[in-house]
Amino acid sequence: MLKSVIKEDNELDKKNKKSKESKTLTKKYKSFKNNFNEDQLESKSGVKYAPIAFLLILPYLLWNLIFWVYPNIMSIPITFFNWSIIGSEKQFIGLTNFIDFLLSEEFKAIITNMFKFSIIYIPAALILSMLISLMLASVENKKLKGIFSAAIILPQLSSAVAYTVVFSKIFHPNSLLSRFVSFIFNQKISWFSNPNLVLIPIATMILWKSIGYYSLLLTANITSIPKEYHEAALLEGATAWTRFWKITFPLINPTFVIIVIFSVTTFFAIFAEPYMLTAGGPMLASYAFKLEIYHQIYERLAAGKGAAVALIQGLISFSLVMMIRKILERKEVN
Amino acid sequence: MSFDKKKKIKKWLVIIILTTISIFNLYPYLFVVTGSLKPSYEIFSGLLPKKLSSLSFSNYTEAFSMKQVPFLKAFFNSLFVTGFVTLSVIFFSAITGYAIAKLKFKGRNLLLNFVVFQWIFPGTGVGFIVVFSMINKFNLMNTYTSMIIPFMMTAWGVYLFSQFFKTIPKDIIEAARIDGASEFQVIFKIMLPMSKSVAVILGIFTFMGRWNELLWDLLVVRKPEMMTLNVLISNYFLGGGGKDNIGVTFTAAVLLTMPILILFIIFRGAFTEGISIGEGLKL
Repeated sequence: MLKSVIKEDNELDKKNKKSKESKTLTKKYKSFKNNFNEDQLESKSGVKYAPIAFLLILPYLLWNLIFWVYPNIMSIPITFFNWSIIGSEKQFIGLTNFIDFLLSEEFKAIITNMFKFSIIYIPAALILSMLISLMLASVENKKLKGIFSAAIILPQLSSAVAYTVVFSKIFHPNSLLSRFVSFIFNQKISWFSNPNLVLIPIATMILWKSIGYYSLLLTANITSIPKEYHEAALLEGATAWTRFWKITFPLINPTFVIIVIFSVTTFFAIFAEPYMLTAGGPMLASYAFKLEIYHQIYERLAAGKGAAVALIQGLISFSLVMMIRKILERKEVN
Repeated sequence: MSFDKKKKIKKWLVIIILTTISIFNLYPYLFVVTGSLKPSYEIFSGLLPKKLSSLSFSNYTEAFSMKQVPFLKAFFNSLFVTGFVTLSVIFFSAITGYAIAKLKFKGRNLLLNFVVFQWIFPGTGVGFIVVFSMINKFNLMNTYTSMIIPFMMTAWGVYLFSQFFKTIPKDIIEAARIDGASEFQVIFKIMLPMSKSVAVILGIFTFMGRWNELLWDLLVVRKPEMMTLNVLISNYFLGGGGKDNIGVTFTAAVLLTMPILILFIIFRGAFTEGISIGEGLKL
C-alpha cells in the first residue's frame, strides 16, 4: 500500500513540478507515513536501496582489501623471508630476521634510548600539561582564555621538519640557550655531539610540540566538571590540594590515562628529529625504531628485515598500552 | 577581604605564568620568521638584526629561484597531494558513512564492526612496507599516485560521519527522495551541508596528518621535482643547507608552516572542537 502511495506521489510530482505542490505532497505523505509502523518502512526502503548501498560502500571495501587487509595479513609471512624490495627472489630464512635484530647493537641502543627518553619525557609531559590545564581552566575571562588556548596549541600546528630545522639552531653550540647553559656549567655545551646529552634537546623539542595538545585535552575535561562539586567541598573546608585529588583528578582520569598512553608511545613515533639532526648518533645515542626501519628498507632494501623490526616495535608498543590500561583501570575500580 | 586579595594575586600569577608559556610557544615561530628575513650569518644575534636595513626578502628570492632545489614546485606538490587526500577522505567517508547510517543492507553491522575494529586496532605497523613493495612492483615510484592512494580513506572518517548522520532525522531524507533527489544528491546536497562541522574537523586533521608525513614520502619519491616540501627541506638541510645557508632553510620552513597556520586562523573553533572529539577517537 505504501508503495502505491509513493508511486502516486512520484507521478503527481512529475505531472506538476511546481515546488509548492510537492511540498504539500510531502506533508501529506509525512502524515500518512506516521500511521505506519517504522519497521515496515525500513524494510521496504531497505530492499529498494540495497544496491545503492553496495555501490556506496564498494570503494571503501576495495581500498581496504588492497591497502589494509592484504598488507596486514602479508606482514607476518614477509618477516620470515630474506626479501629485497627491488628483486623478486625470496628466500625463506625462518626467524633469522628477528634474531638478528634482537641480538644487534641497534636493538640494545633503541631500548636504552627508550628508557632514557621516557624518564625525561613522561614525567615532564604529565606534570606540565596538568599544571597548564589547571591554570588555563581557572582563567575566567573568556577572551583571555581563548588567546591563551590558541597560544598553547600553536606548537602542535608545526610540522616536524619545520620545527626540527628551527630547534637545530636553538640548540646550536653558538645559540643563546647553549651559551647560557655553558655559562652556568662553566664548560662548552654541544648538545648533538655528546651521547649523554643528545636525548635532552630531542625530548625538549617533542615536549614543546605536544604539551599544548595534552593540556587542551585536560582543560576541556576540567571545565566540564560541575562547579557545585568544588563549592560543596569548599564549604567543608577542603584545601585546593585535597580538592584536586578527590574531585578533579578522579573525574578526569579517563583523559589522563589517554595522555599517559600518548606520552608512553611517543618514542615509537620519533623519526624526523633524529633523522635530520643526528642520524641516530652519536654512537646510536639517539637511535629509534623508525630510523632502523628506514635504514633497512631505504638503504639496505631489506623488506623482510624491516618488517621484522616494525613488528617488534608494534608488539612492544601494543603490550605497553595494554599494561598501562590494565594498571590504571584497576585503580579506577578501587 | 584578605581572602579576596589572595584570590586576586593568584589570578594575576596565573596570567603571568600563562603569558610566559605563550611566549615560549611563540618564540620558535618568531625565530624562524625573523631568521628568514636576515642574512644567514646573523642568525644567532638575537631575534632582531643589528641593523634594520639588513632585513630583506633576499632569502625568499633565493629560495624560489634555485634550480636544483625547487622549493616552490615542492610546495605545490605538497598542496596537491594533501588537498587531494583531504577531499578524498571527506568524500569516501561521507558516502560510506551514509550507507552505514541510513541505508539497510546485508552485512551492515559487519561493516560497522570492521570500521570500528580498524579504527581501534592500528594494524601490525608492517602494512606500509607491504604497500611500499606493491608501489615498487607496479612502477609507481616518484608519482603522485604513490603519495595519494595509501592515504585515501580512514576508518576514523567513516565512523565520524556514520555517527553524525545517524542523528539527522530520516524524514528529511524521505522528503528529499520524494522530491526526486537521487541518493548522491541526498548525501551532497542535504547530509553534507548539515554536517559541515564534522567535515571541517575531519578535513583539517586529515590535512595536517598528510601535510606532515615524512617517512612515506622519503620512501616513494627520489626525484627532486616530485618531492613534497617536507622531503625537499630535509634533503636540503642534510645536504649542507642546514649549515651554510640557514636563511634559505628557514624560508622553506616558513613556507611549510604557513598553510596549517592559515587553516588554524580560519577554523579555530573547529580545531578546539576536533581535539575533544579526537580524544575519544584514538582509543
